[in-house]
Amino acid sequence: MITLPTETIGSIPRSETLMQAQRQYDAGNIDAATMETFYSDAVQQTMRELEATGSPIITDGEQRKTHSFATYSVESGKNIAPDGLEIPFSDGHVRRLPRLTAGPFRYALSAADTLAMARQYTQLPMKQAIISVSAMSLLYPTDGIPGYSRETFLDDLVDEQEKEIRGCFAAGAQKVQIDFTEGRLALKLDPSGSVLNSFIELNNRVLARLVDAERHAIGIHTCPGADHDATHSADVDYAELLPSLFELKARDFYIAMAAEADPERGLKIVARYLKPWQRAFIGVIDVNDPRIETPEEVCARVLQAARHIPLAQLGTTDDCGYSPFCDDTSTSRETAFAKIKARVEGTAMAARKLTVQRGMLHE
Amino acid sequence: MNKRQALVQSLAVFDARERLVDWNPGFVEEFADAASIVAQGVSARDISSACLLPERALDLGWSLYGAPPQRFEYINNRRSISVAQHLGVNGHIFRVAQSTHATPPLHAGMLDENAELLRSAALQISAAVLKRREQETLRLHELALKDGLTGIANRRYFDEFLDIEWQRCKQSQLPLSAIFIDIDYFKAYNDLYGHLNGDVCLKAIASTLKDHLHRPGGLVARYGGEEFTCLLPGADLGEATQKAEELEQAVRALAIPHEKSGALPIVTISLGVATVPCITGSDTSVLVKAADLALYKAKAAGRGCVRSTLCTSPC
Repeated sequence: MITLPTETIGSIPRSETLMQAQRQYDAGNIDAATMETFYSDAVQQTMRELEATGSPIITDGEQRKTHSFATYSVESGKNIAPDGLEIPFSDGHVRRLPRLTAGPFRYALSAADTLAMARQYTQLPMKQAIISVSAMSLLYPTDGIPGYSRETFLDDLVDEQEKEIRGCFAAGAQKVQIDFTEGRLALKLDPSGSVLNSFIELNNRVLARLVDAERHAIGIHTCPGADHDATHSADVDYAELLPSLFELKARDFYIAMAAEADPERGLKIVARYLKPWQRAFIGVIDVNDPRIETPEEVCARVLQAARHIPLAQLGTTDDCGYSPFCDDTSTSRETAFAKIKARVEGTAMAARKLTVQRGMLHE
Repeated sequence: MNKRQALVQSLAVFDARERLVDWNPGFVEEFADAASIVAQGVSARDISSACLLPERALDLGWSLYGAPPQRFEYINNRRSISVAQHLGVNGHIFRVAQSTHATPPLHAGMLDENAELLRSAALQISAAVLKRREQETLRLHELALKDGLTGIANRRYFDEFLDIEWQRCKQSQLPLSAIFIDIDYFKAYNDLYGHLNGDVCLKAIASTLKDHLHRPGGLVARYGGEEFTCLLPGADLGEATQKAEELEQAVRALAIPHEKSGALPIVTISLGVATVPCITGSDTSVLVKAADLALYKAKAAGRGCVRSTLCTSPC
């Protein structure tokens, strides 16, 4: 019987209760201990609902990533200011990164710690998503920091990320996913590919410090961004991104595909450049589309992918997290769980069909 | 930027109906997926469809309107390709492409001040990553060329340095001198005082030689075991011999006890000096052999002394 691995990217929309609590906490109206009870309740509830989708591996829904998937680790840092670089999205809105004001750079919140708190709520394997060092590198201001060079900052960043990854594994993560959404954006900023290659080199500095067994449990997520149903780099061609992306020293790659203009072509590019020891988790759910895919639709997308990618190197995922930013209410929790359930069922359906097609089981 | 080789310049000519008229091997390399269909008369669209490349790589649709697009870049299997196109008098389309590392224009969809700031930050990070890589490469290179025990250059560095200085002195018509140095009765020293003390002795002598060479462009290297060598570009035989004698005295002044030495009750060195006054050939081993022979003569003369020789045969 063929089995195809399927994984959620990470984030699940916050409940109105949690968002309201976060607003009150940000305004100073509730204390940290009270806020912690909201986080804890949200994580437990989210994990229960994720288990109910039939997912073989779950996350904590990133309910504790205070404001966004990119900034959670530094938001409470004393050397962080809110007025960093802006990331423009296709619908005209922007998201602003924080700005580092002084060295040394250290994570203020570790994903390993939040994972450890969530681990008690499930018997299922858990995956932890963390932000890439290349995304974090954009926190360093363009006009520099006196006495703390960009190179020293990058050294500190790489050290911190190594600790973060090892910490996640120690806390019980079966998989650690590195969110690399800026990979595609890098090509938009610099079509020569030089910035992309530097971003890849920076991430590889971290990955090179790990042993093979650790690298085999690392996945890289690429997508064109998903915020308020808008993207930041969907117009960048996969033919320009993927050959370099697969140079990252990781085994698994979570690749947005369902919302691509021409998935068939995208799959061909994946198949062309994916290395024999790597696995592509193909996005079969369009997280920006409010319509819930049926398992049959998902199945068809998986079968389409299987025509190009060897089954031993194929998995499925959602195109992106459902709510990378805490205030994104464009997708409801109900919709997110329904889409995940459709992915799990559709993937299993495709696996059964492929088993029959390829003569591995006679029904 | 990456390890891929640069693309040979790709040239192609299409007729007004976007059908291939002429091309060079570089074009076939650029559109390798379509190599089997590249022939006179095949359409640009068919070539493009056969390749997993961005559509703009071979989009000649602009020719209908007569205005070629500005030079642009795209990425072809991790290579940055710059493409220029223009229209000939009879409607023919000329397309020229080649690898480039030039700074590209900002993506058309992000022409605003904040995007420019974002791009600037990304490019700065990119430059910092490259700078660290160069520093690391340099560090590894230095490690490969440095003797681990004494911290001075190793034989590999000496060999590379000799090749470079040989050529430079040849071009500048300068003499080139080498001093070969051997610690006298060093095996007996190790046997008596142990290898750890032997290492201390080697480090002390290396440090002394380095401190006393005092010559711009000069090099001290550990050649192997208890052998050291100095290279003195531009020094004639007299100057090199004088320097060798200074080195011998400096080591003697260390007064490192050596009760099993056959020369003196302290550690001494023997030195062989050789000079090529006028370099004409390319065989650097002539200088090495001559200095080694002079060292042998110093040992034969009782050790703790200097012997010199001039390389007079063409070298």
